[in-house]
Amino acid sequence: MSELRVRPLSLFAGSILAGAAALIAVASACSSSNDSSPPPGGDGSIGLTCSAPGSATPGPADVHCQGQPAQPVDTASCNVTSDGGAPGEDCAYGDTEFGQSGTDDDCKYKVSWTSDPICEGAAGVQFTATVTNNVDGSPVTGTQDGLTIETYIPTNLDASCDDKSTHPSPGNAHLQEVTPGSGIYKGPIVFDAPGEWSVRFHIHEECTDILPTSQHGHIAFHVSVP
Amino acid sequence: MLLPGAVGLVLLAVGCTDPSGNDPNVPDRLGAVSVDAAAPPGCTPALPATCPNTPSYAENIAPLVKRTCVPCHAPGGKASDRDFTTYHGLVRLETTALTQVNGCLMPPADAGPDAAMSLGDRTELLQWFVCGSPDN
Repeated sequence: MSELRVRPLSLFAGSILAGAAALIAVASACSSSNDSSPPPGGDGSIGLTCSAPGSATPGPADVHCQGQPAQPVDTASCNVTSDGGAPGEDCAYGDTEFGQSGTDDDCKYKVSWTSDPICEGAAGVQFTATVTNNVDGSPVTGTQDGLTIETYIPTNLDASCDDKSTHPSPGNAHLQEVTPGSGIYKGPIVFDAPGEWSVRFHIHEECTDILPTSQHGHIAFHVSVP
Repeated sequence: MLLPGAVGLVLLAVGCTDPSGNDPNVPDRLGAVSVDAAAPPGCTPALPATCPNTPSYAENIAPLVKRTCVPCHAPGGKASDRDFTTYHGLVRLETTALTQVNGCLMPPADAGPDAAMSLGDRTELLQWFVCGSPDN
């Protein structure tokens, strides 16, 4: 049997180890207490928390643009005005969609969204929406006020036309483009009560929606808030 | 010989100071994204919980909408695609009007003083929406 000899650490080696331990302590002290998972939203924001966060309401996938040509848009259509006439069909918007991605009602844009944990609270839930042109997949950018958001609990949960509500969000506002040209928009959406909510994104809200090539588009999603 | 350990301990003491002066353990709430979740100051309309006195469309709402919305929301106007000159035109876009009036996004600040909506105006319009927006 061979004899193991343990050499005592020299003072120098000990000091090196002490320095290394201190540096490790620095690294851990400057990290959050839960570094094993990324922060909500991935941007360092502090998200609302709740025991069972909500989600996009599950349901049939959006297929209304399948088999349809992508609708191109044109900046020249933005400021066109109407001389009047009877308003169109009773539903101003297309069906409210399920899941976290879809195409706007006129097949102009593709929109997908993610969020921090969906919880009730006045601070709002960080939403991130990515908008691309349906024609070529390029990012949608240059909106005057980002994406205008309408958030409300519809009176009628019929997905085809939830055009009435007695409970709008107290914080309807805008998602702002994170970086010019990115087509990625971010901002808080406030859910102040549990329920089945609708979140509608207006793209190029500053443009009139008269010509088929108008840049104004809209898409809404069902969101379940616990 | 204890210098490396001492340096490490000094780093431990000061290592959490960001050159910009921010504490990295207190993340920026929204990063570079502007915060506009809350209503603008001074614009906090209250939604009615009950409907004891629903405003009249003809007597109250139509004149209010004509003054504050129709300058743009009419044929030939800046927002002529959202024509609020008729009852049907208004209720067709009801959730949009409700959410934007409640969120104080409408009327916009550049609409001018004649189109200004007082808190009382805003509350009355919201009450009519919440009470079913009758054609009364």
